[in-house]
Amino acid sequence: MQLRTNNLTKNFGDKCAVDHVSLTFERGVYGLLGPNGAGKTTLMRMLVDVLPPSSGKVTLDGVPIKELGAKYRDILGYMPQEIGYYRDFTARRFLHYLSALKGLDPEYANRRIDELLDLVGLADVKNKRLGQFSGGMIRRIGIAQALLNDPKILILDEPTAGLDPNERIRFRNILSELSEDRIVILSTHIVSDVQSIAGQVILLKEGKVISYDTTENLRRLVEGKVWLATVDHSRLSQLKKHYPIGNVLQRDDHFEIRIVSDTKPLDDATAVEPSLEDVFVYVFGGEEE
Amino acid sequence: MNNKRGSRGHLFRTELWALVTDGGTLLIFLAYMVFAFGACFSGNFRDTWMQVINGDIFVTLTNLYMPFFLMAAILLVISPIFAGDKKSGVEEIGDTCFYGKHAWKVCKVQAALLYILVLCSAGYVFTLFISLFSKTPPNFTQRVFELGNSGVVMTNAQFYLFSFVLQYIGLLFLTSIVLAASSKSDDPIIPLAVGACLCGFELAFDFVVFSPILWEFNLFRLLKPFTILVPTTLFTSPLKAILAVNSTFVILTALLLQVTLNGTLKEEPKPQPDLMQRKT
Amino acid sequence: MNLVGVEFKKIVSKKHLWIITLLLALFYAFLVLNPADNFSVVYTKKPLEPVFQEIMDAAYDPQVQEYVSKHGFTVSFDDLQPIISPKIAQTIEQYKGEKYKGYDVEERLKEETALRIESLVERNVTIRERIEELKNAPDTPLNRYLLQQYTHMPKMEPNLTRWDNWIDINKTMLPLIIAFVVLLGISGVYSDEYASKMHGILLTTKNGRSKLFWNKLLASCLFASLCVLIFQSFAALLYMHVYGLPFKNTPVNSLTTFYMMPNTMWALQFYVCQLIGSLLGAIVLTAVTLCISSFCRSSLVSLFLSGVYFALGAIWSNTFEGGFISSFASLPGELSTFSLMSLTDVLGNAKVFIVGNSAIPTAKLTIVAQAIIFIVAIILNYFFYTRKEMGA
Repeated sequence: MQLRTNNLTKNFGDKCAVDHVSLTFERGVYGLLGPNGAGKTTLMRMLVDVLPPSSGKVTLDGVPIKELGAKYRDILGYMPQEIGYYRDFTARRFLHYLSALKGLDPEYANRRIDELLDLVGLADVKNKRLGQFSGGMIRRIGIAQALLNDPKILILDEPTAGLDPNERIRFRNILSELSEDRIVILSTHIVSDVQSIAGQVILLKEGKVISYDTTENLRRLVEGKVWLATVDHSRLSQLKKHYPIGNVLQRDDHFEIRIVSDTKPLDDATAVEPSLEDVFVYVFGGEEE
Repeated sequence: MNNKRGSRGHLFRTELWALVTDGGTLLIFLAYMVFAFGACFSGNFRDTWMQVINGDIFVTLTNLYMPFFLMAAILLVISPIFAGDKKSGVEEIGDTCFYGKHAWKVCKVQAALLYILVLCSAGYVFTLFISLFSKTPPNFTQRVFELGNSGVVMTNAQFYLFSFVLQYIGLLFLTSIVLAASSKSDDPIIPLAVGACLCGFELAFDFVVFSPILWEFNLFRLLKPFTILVPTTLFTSPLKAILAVNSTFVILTALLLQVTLNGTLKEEPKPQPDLMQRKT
Repeated sequence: MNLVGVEFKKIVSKKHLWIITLLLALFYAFLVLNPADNFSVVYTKKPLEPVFQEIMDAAYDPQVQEYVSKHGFTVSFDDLQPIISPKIAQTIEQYKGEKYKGYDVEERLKEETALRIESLVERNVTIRERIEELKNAPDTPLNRYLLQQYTHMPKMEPNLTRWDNWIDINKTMLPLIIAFVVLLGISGVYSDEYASKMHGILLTTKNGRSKLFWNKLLASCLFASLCVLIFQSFAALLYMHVYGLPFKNTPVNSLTTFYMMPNTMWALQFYVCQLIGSLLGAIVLTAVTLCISSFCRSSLVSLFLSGVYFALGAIWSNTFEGGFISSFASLPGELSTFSLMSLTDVLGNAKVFIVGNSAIPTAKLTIVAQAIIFIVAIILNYFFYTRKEMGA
């Protein structure tokens, strides 16, 4: 199974949100990383055929998804960034409604809904109205509905936003298990999620693909370029003007900072093992004034 | 896991159930029940608030008052059918499902049309039930009220059925307007306002005869069927009036439904082995 | 940033609001312009304006009064012609041979003149008899009120102005239209904030509670006032075009609409009261709608509930309209917002409500009731908004 985008472009007036993006997805987990406004959500909406591209196309095994239509949607699971729901529906009723939309047999849907509610930890509130759910619970319902039809292509936009650490770990494990014979594309700002489970990472900036590689290869990009230093407040302000700064940790009267730079920024800075977050800072700029 | 295919009928039934169990439906039906109770069992209420036709409480309720409750239900329940999904964001999820897009839209429209039938039937059944216990229960075999110049002669039972059919056609027209407006907007308030305006305009043209055509080809001719049996300047024969008015509204309804369903790809999901099974 | 300006802009920037307003304006224009070429609009009153004083003098001429009374208040122009001013006949004669839409203009003008004279005579006679009856009637609050009103009425005049039509502007249609537009604009003021989850941010800002509440109220009232101004001006322009401006002021008791009602007002005064009532009613409706919007999460429900509130008042008012005595059954309609926006029934008919030994003008009760509703609505509005819980 191969999902491809061929020179996919989307313009909104003068603004080009997605600029000639050509990607190939096969089995596995793909992480879509990029700053706000990079075009991640726009790209995902085109992948799930709710937003027509200005040019280019999305194909599944060579067939445009527009032609496939319902056949494509039959194997698709999508979780949008803003999850729409009916406040007066209970969790169970909402999933039943969506299972009807996904063309699932009612009996099968019943079983599947119970399984998924267990999986996302909402079994004990299945008869509660969605209007009474917290933000994190709504996101979990969003995940559950995306998995209802056991999709072969799973596209998730910010799936772990609002989840607590335990829920995030649980979700990552679910995705890892699912990714064996599926295409999973997830976009997120939480780099650690991508780091933990994504085999391939796509870096998107201003609608263009900056890089498309494994996590390991991307880390090698910044090997020897990540430095740990200890500075005071006034020094920190100065450094921010010249270098992309990653993590800043306050300790007593000084700061422990992570600087991404091709050359050693300070005499007392020490080189450290790069993380995917450092790659993000290197490519997109960190806290640089 | 065995991914068995559910039918479109199941989606249609789900949509219909969502409409029938909507809070607005229950609220308005409750309001009508209270009104009908007052009409049937309180002379004071009847004398103060109602204009009884020919001493027949069933015809009075179904021809003069029930239509307004049904119109309110349509405006409140049908307005968000498409626009509400756009506003809440459910449309974005729904359109990525197997029965999303056109199939979903068709199911919603079908459910809305059947919902009106259910609503109308429930109104008639309830009114009939309650008027049977009133002081003037309906007499089905008696000839319908004396309309001296009317060329149409029917019994009460025939007139009740005739009323039901005409009112259903009228309500279908109103539903089709609201559906069309809802499908083109992203806020449920817009189809509600459009529907309310239409009802207001038609009511004004019904009360004051500005033009024979506007009075004759009026939604309230269908919603108050007893008025269509009276010969007018435009139609000397009630039969001609019935045919002309009904045909016009049926055609308009069909056009509006076409407008509603336009704009989505016409793809009919057929029961086929899914892509993965075919590949292996 | 001017909060009132921002809130006002939020209301008026809805495209659908202005489309619906335009539709309603066109519909209203159609209703008003449709009878513009009717015989009764083109003729019957305007040609007789030059002889208004002569017709009035004739109606107050004792000889004419005696003649009309003797003939049961049904006379023809030819019967009256010998005893009234010849100027009237000369004026009508100008239209000899003229036809309009199948009507003989001269004949119809003669009928109209006779009708005006006999009607005025009949009214005067009836009022005089009524006053005599009341002087001998038991001393009740109602009788005292009626005697006071009838004896202090301005001198009645022939109904040859178009004040009947002008007062009709605010009878039913225009208040309904104004109310609809106000509801459409205001119903989402709070519920849209809840729907977009903005209320969570607003309630946690410095000016996001009391100050924002007052600013929203002010902006909404400005919007309602704008609606009233637009529609009243539009209606006045339409009526000026169709019926022309009334050539003189006239007492309300001279109008056909308020036949035998104990009203001592003048028509222009009454019309101005209607304009003020329309504005105040729109503002009260705004407050009620804001209150409902502040506890509804959906603007659809808010619009529906506000609409039901207004419609119930309108229906109740129309069910019990007429007469000059208010009862407990009719009061809810008479004290409604619709009633304030119209005033045709409570003020035009000079209605009173008898309480103990007093006859209280119902119009005053309407204003008081609406003021109370306004205050209660804004208090509840404030309470609902500032205590809104931030859910999911």
